[in-house]
Amino acid sequence: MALLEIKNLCVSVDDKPILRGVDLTVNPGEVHAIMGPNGSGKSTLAQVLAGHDAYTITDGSVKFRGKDLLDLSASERAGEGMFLAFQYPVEIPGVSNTYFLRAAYNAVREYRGEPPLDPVAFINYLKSKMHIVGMDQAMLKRSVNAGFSGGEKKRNEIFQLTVLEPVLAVLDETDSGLDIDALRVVSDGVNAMRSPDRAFVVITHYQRLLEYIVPDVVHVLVDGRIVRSGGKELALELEDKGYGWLEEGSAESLVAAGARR
Amino acid sequence: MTNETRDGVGTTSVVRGSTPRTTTTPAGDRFLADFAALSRANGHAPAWLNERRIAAAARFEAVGLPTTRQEAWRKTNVQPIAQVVFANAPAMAADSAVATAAAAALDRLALLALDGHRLVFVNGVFDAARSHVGALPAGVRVGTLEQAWREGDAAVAAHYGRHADGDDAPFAAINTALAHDGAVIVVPDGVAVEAPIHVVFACASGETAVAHHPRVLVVAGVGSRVTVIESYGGLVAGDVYLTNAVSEVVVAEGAEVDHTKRQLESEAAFHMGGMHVVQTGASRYVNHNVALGGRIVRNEIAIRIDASGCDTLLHGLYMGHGQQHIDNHTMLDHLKSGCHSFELYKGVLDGRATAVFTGRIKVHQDAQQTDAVQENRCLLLADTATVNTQPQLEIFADDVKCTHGASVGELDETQLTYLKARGIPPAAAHGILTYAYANEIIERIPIELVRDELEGLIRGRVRETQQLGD
Repeated sequence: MALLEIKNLCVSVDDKPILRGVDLTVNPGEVHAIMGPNGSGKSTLAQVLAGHDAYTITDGSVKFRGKDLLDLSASERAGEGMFLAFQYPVEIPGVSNTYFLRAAYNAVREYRGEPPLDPVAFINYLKSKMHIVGMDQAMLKRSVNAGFSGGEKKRNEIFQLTVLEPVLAVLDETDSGLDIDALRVVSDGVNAMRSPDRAFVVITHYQRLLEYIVPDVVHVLVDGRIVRSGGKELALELEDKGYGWLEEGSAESLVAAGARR
Repeated sequence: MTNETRDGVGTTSVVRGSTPRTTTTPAGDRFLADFAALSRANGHAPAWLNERRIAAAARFEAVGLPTTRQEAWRKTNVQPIAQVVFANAPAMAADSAVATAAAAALDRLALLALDGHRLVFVNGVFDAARSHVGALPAGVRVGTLEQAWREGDAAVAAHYGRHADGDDAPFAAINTALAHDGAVIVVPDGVAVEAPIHVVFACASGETAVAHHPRVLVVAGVGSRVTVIESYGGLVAGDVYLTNAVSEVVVAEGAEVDHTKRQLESEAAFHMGGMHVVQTGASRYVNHNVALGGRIVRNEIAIRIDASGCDTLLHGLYMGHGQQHIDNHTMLDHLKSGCHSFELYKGVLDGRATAVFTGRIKVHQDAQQTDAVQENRCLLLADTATVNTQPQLEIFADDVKCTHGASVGELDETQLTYLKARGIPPAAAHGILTYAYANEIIERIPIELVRDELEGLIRGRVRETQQLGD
């Protein structure tokens, strides 16, 4: 069974259509990259999957592990194993990383009918995860993302991923604002989490991230539709030629349309 | 962010000499009746004290209880206080049944595990059994006012009633007229008292509503250091009583005073509190004012910054629910140049609670290079809760930096979204963020045990606290 099955997903914000019929199927163990120009709807797709309520679903369906995802609240989706690494992680002064992670981890356990971990057991569990993205104790004690650098925030997102162990992780432009060292740390963290049971949807502008997190499938999202899908070599082609040749009304697409006629 | 203002508990004015609903005696006369009784009982008081008491009684007689016609009381109607007949509180302390029932509550309020010195008063009467004053550096006085009066302490004679009793302070006048005991802390020049000094004023009213008039005097000498915690609380939930408290604090050159107020009164009680601080030399004074209890609450905190180079920090947290009304009135009086004051007050209101914040900052002509920052924020958890917030800046010097900000709002949507995306259900996410909001004030209190205990109380207040663990 597919892990995620998106059919004809149409989404509007303030009556303006953003996604105009997206189809996407993700199987366990796969890594899908979604690329596309600014404003093509990539981040909207990520936020709709995570359950952000600023969007209106006008058509289509999303099945996640066989359940209707769109019927679930944001916290229920997380309980089912959905994880969104935010493009802009939110600062929460006054709530320590450790506290936040334990609240999230135990909320997810409760959703699954499992008993909560006590503080000591949880700290031990956290410690077993810290090496994956090089978290230190000091960062755990600090308030969630408060005063973190851009790189630290993205690293913290991936740290949360390693702690919460989702079955589907959507990474929304996790590479934006990262220098090459931070990109490597974040990518290593993601690669360490790859497994036959877990899938990733990696949203990015740039091919560079995909050198580190090698995708099985690359999709190109233009104007709210997936206009092309292919293997990892498609990302290289996009790096070379840009997105123009895939956009509606471009010279190449007109030539192709003419040839078909 | 939305700004919302509304009248306080009501705008009905109290006409002095009119007939209140539940009594035929005007409130002022009743307080004076107490005064006459207490004067007879305190025949051994020094002459200067009797003079100040008589002067205070006369001052109160002249002004009476405040009405909502007065600008400073426009949003806080004390008529409900005038309508209750309060018994003379000290008489209740002999009632052992009340004392026994309330013993556990008193132990909690008194923070027995706190390592330091402790003075406990129940219904205004010193409780020697629960008090504990350990070894102190030479010359330090931590004890009762009654003893200091008897012994003729010069610092007490010099300062008692000298800082609180302005013409516009009717409740302070009642206190000065009626207070028959209280706490005194005198730290001589150059002495640091390392352990915190905890002063506890508990009240249990039993069958009859009672009034008590807690009094604190802190005199911190040149280059001294002291940490003072004042706790106020009811021992029986739902008790109706009046706490009418006055604290005076004198901070000399080079001294550092850290001063916390825990207000955990019964939610049917009235709390009128005045803290009057004077910084007489370049010094540091930090105040943490936490108000969780009380039906009608007024905190007046007035700081006279009467020397160059002072640091003054005011941190406040008020949490109201149900029908609580909490009024914080702060005054930073910048008289001299080159001083820095910082004020941060935060409120959390639920239910039909109302709150008032008035933050006055007066920068006198001589107070050049004053740097004053004031911020008041209030979180409204219910549509029915209201806050009225008013910064009042009066600046007569031309080279100063004064900023103020006030915001009234709800929890941050992006933070709620983030917590929910990590699996935390909406109610628990609200609880976590509300707690974090309040904790920004609590975490500034220097004593860990006091912080922990307040954090526990706040967690209890915040909805869906089970998600907060521990």
